[in-house]
Amino acid sequence: MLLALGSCAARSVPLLAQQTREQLEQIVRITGKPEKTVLHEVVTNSLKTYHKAPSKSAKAVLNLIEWAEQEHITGKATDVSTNYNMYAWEE
Amino acid sequence: MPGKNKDHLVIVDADAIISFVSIDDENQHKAKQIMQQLVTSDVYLLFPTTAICEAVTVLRGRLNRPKDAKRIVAKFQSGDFPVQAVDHATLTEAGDLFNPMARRKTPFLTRLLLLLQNVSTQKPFSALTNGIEK
Repeated sequence: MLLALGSCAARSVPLLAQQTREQLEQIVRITGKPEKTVLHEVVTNSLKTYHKAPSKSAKAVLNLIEWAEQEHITGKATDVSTNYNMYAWEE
Repeated sequence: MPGKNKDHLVIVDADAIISFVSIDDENQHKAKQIMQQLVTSDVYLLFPTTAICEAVTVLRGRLNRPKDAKRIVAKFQSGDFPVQAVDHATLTEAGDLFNPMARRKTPFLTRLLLLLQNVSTQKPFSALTNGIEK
């Protein structure tokens, strides 16, 4: 077994669930790659899909948008953002 | 200055603010999509006080819903949004740096904030305007 072998790579992740260990063992068998390489690839690929903590300022804007939608804030024109200079200064 | 050391800075202009809070606006959907993408990235949004004032002024006049305009102002007063004040010193520095003959038609305030941040041209920088990241 991958972790039972006591390899350096396996010892570095002692809290893996049994199912995960079995999946890793299967990958080692199928690919013929060393355990350490497989672990490295799995962790690296997982990190690529891991999302960072959301941007607080962007989240605040999303909350603002949701608030405007809930409150149904709307205007008489749909081109205000495009022509805001005209609306600001020419009317 | 808020966000000074952030790698990804987005300065939000008045038109983008309008598209956030006016749900029938033609750029609202696009602006929302952009924000949904940005929220998972390490981005820092900065709201110049002048842009907020300009947006609220237009919304007040065009929406003809003064109570809603006041509520939008209250949202920006909440402290949830990083705000950049444009004071006398800021304007003075902008005047020194401003080149009216420059080819690139970046809005004056946007260029000003960029310059004040000492952000090199290699660093990612964008201004959110018309619901489109430029």
